[in-house]
Amino acid sequence: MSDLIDDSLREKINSDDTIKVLATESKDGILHVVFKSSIHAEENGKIIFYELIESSQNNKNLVYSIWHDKEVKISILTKDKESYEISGIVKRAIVAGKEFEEAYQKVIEDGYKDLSTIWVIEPTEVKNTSLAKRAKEEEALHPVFTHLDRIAK
Amino acid sequence: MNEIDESKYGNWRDEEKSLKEVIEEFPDFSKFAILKTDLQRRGVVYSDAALLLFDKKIHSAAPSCIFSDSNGIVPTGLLLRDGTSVVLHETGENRKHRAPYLVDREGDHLIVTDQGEKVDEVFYWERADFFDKFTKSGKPMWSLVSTRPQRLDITGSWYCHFWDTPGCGCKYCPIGAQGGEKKKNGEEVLSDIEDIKEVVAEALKQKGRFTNIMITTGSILSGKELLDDEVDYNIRLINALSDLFVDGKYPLQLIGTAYSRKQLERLHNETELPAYTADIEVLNEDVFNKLCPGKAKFVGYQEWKNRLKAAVDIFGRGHVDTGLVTGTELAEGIGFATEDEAYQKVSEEAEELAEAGITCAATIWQPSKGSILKDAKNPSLEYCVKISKKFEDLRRKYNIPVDFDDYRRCGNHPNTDLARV
Ligand code: SF4
Repeated sequence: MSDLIDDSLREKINSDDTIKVLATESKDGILHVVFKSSIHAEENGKIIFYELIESSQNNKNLVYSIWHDKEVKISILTKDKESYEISGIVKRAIVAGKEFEEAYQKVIEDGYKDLSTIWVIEPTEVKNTSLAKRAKEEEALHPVFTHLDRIAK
Repeated sequence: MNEIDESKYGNWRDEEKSLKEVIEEFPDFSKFAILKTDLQRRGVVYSDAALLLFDKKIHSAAPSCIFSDSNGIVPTGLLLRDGTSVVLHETGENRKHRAPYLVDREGDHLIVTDQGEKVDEVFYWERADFFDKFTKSGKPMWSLVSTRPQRLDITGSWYCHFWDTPGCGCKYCPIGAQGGEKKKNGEEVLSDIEDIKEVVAEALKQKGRFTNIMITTGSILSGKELLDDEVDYNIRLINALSDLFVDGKYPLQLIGTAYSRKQLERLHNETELPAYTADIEVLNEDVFNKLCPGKAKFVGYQEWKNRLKAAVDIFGRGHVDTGLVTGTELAEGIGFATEDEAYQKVSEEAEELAEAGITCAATIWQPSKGSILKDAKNPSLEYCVKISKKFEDLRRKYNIPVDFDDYRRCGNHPNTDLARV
């Protein structure tokens, strides 16, 4: 049970208006970033999403991640310009069973052709990376990181 | 069983590397495929608490979900967290040489343990929706077609006719005893094609469940030419199932005996069969002759290889593979004396096949009751992983796809599990 995702963040993650991206690393160390609108948080704090294409680079990287306990990152951007970076470890690939079949039917009803895998991520860290918040922190922690014209009379 | 009596198995743990050590030794290999290999190699038993999590209305037991007799429930297999299947022929209670793993319960979760320590979470396979149904002829569907998590398994002949000739059955194979028993009891040993078709039609109603059909059979040697009857049967079965699909094509693996070029051409020309498998079982002629005397007598080792190569001409590279009962090459009194020698010799022959476009599919030898080698010792985990890695390295070196026999279409080969990344 992860308590890193509170109700408010879960709502943001699960909103259809939120943009969600996933970053993974291949076995050769090459980064791969994809939009994943199916990313959603469950009440138990886990993050779930669907991979539709069995042989996609994303799916390969997630398999590699679960084999070798590699971290993956999810970034979300809400319609109010709030953003969060969620780090996590890949906990499970669900490829069969009733849970899979229910998700499969939903994916098909949504107009997609097939479902390869339900991926389950356990968050290990959540950072609020919203620009407004980060800019304030930057000013407080690194006051010299600025352009002179910004502070000129 | 709620704990393993380690004292029964001597000091085997001092003689070979542990799961943890092998995972560390092979950092490129999937730790799940290594665990699967070891679960099959050592066997598993289930605690009472683990079996309380087994719901026969939901989960899959051997040989069916209705199975719950004096032997108790025997789950057909396990799934690992990454979706890897672990096919288990029976529980590890009869293993003689190493302590089996104990599948136990942690809260609502099923876990696999070794010496009281949790190794990882595991999951029971789920049964298919058709299991409670009956064919029009009144046969229970579970008795006609079995399942893996995403595969339908069809057996043509439950009896293998190599066993008709004394001493000609493969020594690791329990089918001789099982099929022989059926035959003795006067049961039908050749599956009725209409029955099978009816079950598959029912299975296809379960949306999202199945990704592949596998057809195999005990060898049928009869016919105008050796094996013609087996080929005829397969052609009729494959074509009957074609009726159930939009354009007659479907993901299908046929594991047959090694057919002649003429027979392979017939299969290719008269059906929509996309790929072909003929299990050579062991990669060394002397060991093959001792281990599979029927295959050796009726087809022959070199001819078996020639037929696999002919299949590549017909079905194409990446559409032919051969199964190996990995570990039997070291069966005492039959195989190589050392793992190093076995690794070297098997690797050389695997390379010859890979060069020809044939993938070797390692199936970990689980000495099973009913087989001649039921009490034999299989090799170390380190050897099983090393040879599986070799097969995968060769597959990549010669650029041979193995889509039709991968972790999901089959799920019983640690080396083809590696094709996922
Ligand atoms: S050919 Fe060998 S392995 Fe296959 S069913 Fe017959 S005896 Fe068993």
